[in-house]
Amino acid sequence: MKIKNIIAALFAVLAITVGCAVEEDHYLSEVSLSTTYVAITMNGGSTPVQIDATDSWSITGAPSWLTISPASGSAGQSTINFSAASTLDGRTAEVVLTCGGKTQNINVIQGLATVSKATCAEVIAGPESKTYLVTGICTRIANTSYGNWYLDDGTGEIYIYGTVNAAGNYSWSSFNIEVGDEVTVQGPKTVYNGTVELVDATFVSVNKSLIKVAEIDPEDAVLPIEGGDFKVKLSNKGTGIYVEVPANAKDWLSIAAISGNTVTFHAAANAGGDRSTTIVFKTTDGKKEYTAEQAISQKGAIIECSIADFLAAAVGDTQYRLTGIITSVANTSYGNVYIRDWSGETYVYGIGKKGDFANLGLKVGDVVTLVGKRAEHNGSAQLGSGQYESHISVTEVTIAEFLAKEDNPNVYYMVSGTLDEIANASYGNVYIKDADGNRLYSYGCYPGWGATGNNRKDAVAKYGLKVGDLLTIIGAKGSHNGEPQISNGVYFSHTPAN
Amino acid sequence: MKKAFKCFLAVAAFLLMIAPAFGQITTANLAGQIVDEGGEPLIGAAVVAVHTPSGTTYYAVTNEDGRYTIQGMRTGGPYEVTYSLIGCQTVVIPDIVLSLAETYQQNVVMKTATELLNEAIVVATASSKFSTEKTGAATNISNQQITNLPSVSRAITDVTRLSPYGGNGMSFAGADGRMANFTVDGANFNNNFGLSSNLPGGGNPISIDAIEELQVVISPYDVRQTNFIGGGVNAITKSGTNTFRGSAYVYHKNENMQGDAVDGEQITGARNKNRSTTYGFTAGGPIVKNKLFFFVNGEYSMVPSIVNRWRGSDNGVADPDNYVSRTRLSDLQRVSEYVKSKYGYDTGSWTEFPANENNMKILARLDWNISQKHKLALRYNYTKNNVWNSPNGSSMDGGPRMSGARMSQYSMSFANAMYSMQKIVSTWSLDLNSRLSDNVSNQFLATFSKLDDVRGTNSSEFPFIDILDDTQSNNYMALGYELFTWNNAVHNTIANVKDDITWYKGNHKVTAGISYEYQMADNQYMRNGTGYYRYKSVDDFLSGAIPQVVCLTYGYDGEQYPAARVQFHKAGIYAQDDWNVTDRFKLTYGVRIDGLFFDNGDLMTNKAIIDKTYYPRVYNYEETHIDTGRWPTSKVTFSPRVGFSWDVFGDKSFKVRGGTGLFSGRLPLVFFTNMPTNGGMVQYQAQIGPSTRYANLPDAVKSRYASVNDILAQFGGGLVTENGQANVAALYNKLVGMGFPSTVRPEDGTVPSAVNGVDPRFKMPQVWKSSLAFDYSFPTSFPFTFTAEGIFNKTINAVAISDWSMRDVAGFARFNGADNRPIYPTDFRYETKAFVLENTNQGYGWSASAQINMRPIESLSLMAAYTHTVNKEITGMPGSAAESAFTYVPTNEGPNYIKLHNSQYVTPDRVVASLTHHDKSGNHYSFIYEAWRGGYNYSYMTTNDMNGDGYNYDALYIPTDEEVSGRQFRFVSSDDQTRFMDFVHNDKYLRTHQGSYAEGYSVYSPWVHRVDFSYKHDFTVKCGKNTNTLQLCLDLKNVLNLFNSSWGVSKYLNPAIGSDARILKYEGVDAEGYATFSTPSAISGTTETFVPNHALGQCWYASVGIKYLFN
Repeated sequence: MKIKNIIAALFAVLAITVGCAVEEDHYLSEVSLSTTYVAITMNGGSTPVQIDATDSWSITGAPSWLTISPASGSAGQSTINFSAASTLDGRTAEVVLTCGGKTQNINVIQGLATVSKATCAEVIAGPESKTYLVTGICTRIANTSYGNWYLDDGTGEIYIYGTVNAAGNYSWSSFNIEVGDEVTVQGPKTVYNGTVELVDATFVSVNKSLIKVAEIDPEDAVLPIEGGDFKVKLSNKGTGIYVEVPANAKDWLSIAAISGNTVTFHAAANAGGDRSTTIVFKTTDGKKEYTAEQAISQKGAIIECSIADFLAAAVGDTQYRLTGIITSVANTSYGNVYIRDWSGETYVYGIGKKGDFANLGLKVGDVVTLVGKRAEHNGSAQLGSGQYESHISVTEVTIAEFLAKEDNPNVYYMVSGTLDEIANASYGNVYIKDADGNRLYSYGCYPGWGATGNNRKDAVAKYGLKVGDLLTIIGAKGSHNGEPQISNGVYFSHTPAN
Repeated sequence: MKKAFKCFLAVAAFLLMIAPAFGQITTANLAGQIVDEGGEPLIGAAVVAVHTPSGTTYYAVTNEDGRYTIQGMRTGGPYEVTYSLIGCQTVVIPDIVLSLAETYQQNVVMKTATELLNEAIVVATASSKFSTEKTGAATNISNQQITNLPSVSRAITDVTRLSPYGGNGMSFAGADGRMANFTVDGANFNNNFGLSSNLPGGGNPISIDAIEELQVVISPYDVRQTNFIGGGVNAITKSGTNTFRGSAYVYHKNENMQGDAVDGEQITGARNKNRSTTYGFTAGGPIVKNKLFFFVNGEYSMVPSIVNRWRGSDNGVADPDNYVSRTRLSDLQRVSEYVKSKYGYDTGSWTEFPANENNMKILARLDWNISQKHKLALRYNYTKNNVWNSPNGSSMDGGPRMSGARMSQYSMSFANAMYSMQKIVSTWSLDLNSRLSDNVSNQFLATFSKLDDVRGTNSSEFPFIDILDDTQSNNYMALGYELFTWNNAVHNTIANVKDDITWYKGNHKVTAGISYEYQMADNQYMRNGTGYYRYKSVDDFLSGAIPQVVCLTYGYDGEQYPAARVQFHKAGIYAQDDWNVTDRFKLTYGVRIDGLFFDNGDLMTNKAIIDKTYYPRVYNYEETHIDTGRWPTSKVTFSPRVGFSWDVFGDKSFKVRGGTGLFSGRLPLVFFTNMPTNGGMVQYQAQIGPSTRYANLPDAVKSRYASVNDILAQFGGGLVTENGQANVAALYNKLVGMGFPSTVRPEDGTVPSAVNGVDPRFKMPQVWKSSLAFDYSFPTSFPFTFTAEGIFNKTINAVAISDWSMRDVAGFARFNGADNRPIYPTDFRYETKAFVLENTNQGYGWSASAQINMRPIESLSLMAAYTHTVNKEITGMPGSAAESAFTYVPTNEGPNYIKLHNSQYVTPDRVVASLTHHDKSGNHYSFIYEAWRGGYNYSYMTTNDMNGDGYNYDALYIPTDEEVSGRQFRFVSSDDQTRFMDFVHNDKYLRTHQGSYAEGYSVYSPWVHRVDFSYKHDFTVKCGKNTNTLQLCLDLKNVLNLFNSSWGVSKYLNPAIGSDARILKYEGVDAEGYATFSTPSAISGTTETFVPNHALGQCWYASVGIKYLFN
């Protein structure tokens, strides 16, 4: 009897646990819709969708071409009409219905939206996990078992992390992709360690280039100011090599020799600013033309001068190198700033590429060295196409913090304090102090960055500094006779007392 | 599940009310009852059991019920057991052989002595027919069986296939092999870290010549057994005896001892050099007769190989066909001599490189019969597997990597830049078995295991240096300490102590015990651990020019071995009663309570991570934060178990046995260490080079240096040295002096590209197993038995991973039509990816097996078993990175919503049979037949990411014919439709699952049949007064393939389809919001799903061996 019971109990246990229900798909319990993919005909019209909600609801995010009526409602069953006028091109929209604190996505389609190609720049700016169709030149191949390579279409470069065929398999050799070929792939975007990638991109097509630049001399394709030869060795599988000096470079670049697959160009000496061009090499297989491009640039003279001299110069292509303190920032993404040295102040219309300013970590107070052209906008002078060269990062510290720093003539700080005493009005040797009574000697308060000789003088008079003003000085930590000081301080700003 | 658990408790309680005997891990037991002719129990009878080979003696006295039990005996035998009582005839039973972890049941009827002065001795025969007392599913494999098995790999997993539930590596009963438990003499031999399911020490941690016996357990209801989900393997090693015995052996296999064709088609490279030789010996004997014994085993196997074929050139011109690199020998010499003279560093040869792969195993064991009451065993083993590798191809940090590998036609390296992968196993086991009184015995077991996978090198401490060619377009030369080798290791240390005390009274045997386990696992990985420099040319390097790249990874706060580490303590307490309710019915019930306590000292919270807000599904989409500075909170698990054994007719001819209970298991620890590995609080990676972003550098560095080039300029003038040594400390001090951080605080944390976390509520895996079995012994004159067994498993806690950054799929728009899976919107992730380890209670499985064993004549043994296995799970945690474990399971709703599916580890149908025969002329024959269905498990999927979740594992929807004709499932063309539907109609799985999503891992490869054969012949060698044996052996795997190259070959997915069963491509929606599909060109009505696998491993192969046995 006991035994029977045990066996019965065991089977009971088995029976209870076997009854595992198959898990169903997941839907919101708050709201249900007859469809969440609403199709409207190309000719325009209205598509009804039944809604059964447990709470009041509303729909947001509709584009102007789409009318949703009603766009909100209360608990219970009702009908929502999605309507649109007729359209020539297909279009889609994604709207969001909110009900009881939950969101329901609804996709709307009117006609077929064509899959459009994206540029690398669009991929880089676009959302992750989205699939893109991109065409560009294979610039470098990193891995041939999975097919990892770099694709550049001129707007930017993305990494193709894995290339697969239509069946989803890695099959690198079957794609026959070489550096220089124009390749079309389609795949989802991801960002890995800052690199924008298409992961396991599906290979679409390759346009083989019959001509490639194999070697160049000099390797960086940058010729010196004095001019000289530029050699391009091509690898060519087509018939003949056709090359022409671009019209915009004919006055300084010429073809010196063509010998076999090597073309030698000659650049004249450069009296003006930097200049560059892109040479196009062509060949043919008898039916179609294939090209390879090579950019070349030549350094121009760069004039190093004070900001005052720069402002006095004429607008043109001549390059100037300016060094000054960033006094204010007009636009952080392009790096539109004002910089000032001892002689004057100018507007800089952009430092490097968009984003460089932020990436370099530049801020007000930093000392930057830039190269650019004298330009003008609405009558105001500005430094155009400013290229970043270097900067000194200036750290803002309190007097107490400054006093704790080690002496180092190469590390710059920005210190503020109340002007306590003017020891030397000519060079601006002053004492500043803080609310806690810390007093700091600044050996020099020069009118601005870069001053030498007599230009260092008379900041006190120039800015009308008086005891009691709140003064901000930039300089390095030093000491004199054991006493800490700001060595060769430079005036940054002041707020007059009262 | 709560309901089910309550029900379990109710059943367990019920079973406990009504009414016992089980296994152990390192020893065996003997028990029984002594009665007189009238069936009355005889009290006070003496039982003396002598282990004949070693003279080890065990004593017992029968109690008031006439019962006796001897715990903690040596397994094997033979034993001679003497039963005596004044006034009765003494009974002697020779040739009792005990099995590991089992209780041998020997009942005796003693006759009253008729002649008082002349005590007669009766020699009886040992009981046969299920003399052991098992309740759950377990298979014992004796030393003799191991010796007879055909095996070429000589691996444990070749032996465990004799279990009906084995056959697939360490995966038992369809469970993940990484969650099985392998112990040797009680010591942990698991691949606990779990980067693969291979056993430690290169997959073969102990020589099978050192194993005395092993047991495969699936559902043992003994509360002393724990730490596995699918199954456990308990092995014990050989001991010395009173006779000096030994053996020496050599096994060899090479490329000519294997097939070279499948299905009549030659396999390329089949005859390429591929040989391995194993040498070994065993020796055992007495140190003090009857008292102290030793046993030792040593084994060494070697695979001659070539790791690097590349050589430098004289003229700077590469000849890739002949493995000549463009790198000039003169440059190699120049650089080598330069670093020798300047830094005292030896680059190693540039013409001779390390190569051979080898494996060494040592084992030593002492058995000490301290007294009649105390027996001690001490065992040590050491295994080291060593494989050489060329330096990493071209990976580097800080700049664009070059396309040419460091040892290739473009570049050359040096011998000391190579590294080895060393897999080391070192374990201790101390086992003290004591008989404290007639009624109380005790076992104390302490074990220690160190299982390490470390990288080795012949290099001294020195940075790794890449030198580019003069055009800086590719690698040219590399030297130094391999850049990913310094401190690159996985360490695993386990210490176990347990003590069991057994007290027997009447027909009860009560065992209580405590156990403690400490476990530490860490994963050390430092890129550029000794520093990394890249120079633009050989001249740049030799002249001390400014390098292009400088890198160093170092631990915070001076930590020399920064590692992602997990440490935990597990304390267990357990008690059980083995109760002979009647002579025919035995019941065992008990409970085990385990506490798991993590050590949070290895972690630091990353403020940037914890500040993020997640709304995960497991917390019902409530606001939650991830603290990567905390392990899960301490947990206590209860494992109640009950088992029974019922001798239905009282003659042991028919037994019913079974039980039910909870089992808790292990988890690959990599899933824990993934958290600190990705937490960013362990080590700092200084990387300075062209791809370094100045803005991302520490402020302290930026305040001193205006640009990356400024920083690099500090490294001109050659490698950074201290006292002339270019060591880690020198570079570290320099970098820290330049402002790079030396310490880290929670506030310094940055957000990684993906957060890895562990749910604080996380519990170790737990499963509820129940089984019922019938053993029937046929009334034949020879042993002939039949067993049928059923096991049911219900998951209590299984492991799962989800991404907490994904929004609830319930609110996503869905396609119209039959395949109406959700469409992931572009903002489906609202935060940084966060892969969090958590539990699921979904999952169940069952196995049914039938087995016969037969021994028609003494020299012939036959066994055959069939097993059907079902195991349903949420995830088999494929891979070791959190993201792969999370995403490699096909779903229609996305990886956070995986549905219960067939486990990827299941072999649904399996047959195993063995035949061994010995004859009197010294011939031994052994055959094993194995057949299985589903060696490869596939999932039908779309070729692309249909639901837009970013993971290309989208389960296929298999439409019905009506759905296709009714345009509820749409193809882009009628050709696509025809080819696809023809394929569906011809494929059994698809045909029978139309109208549903394809279940993951549910398409099984067809049956494959294999026969393995072993033949051994013994030659008798007279050596003085001893008779030694010379044994020649031939082991042949997959014999059928030897006769026909199509036989014994498993079929796998037609490569025309691909490596995955992706048979439909999503082509976007049509204007009505229906998904449309195209069919890959390979798919049509004539496409075969499975074709023979043309791989070398499918062919027959063999090894030959010579063994000399002396005694």
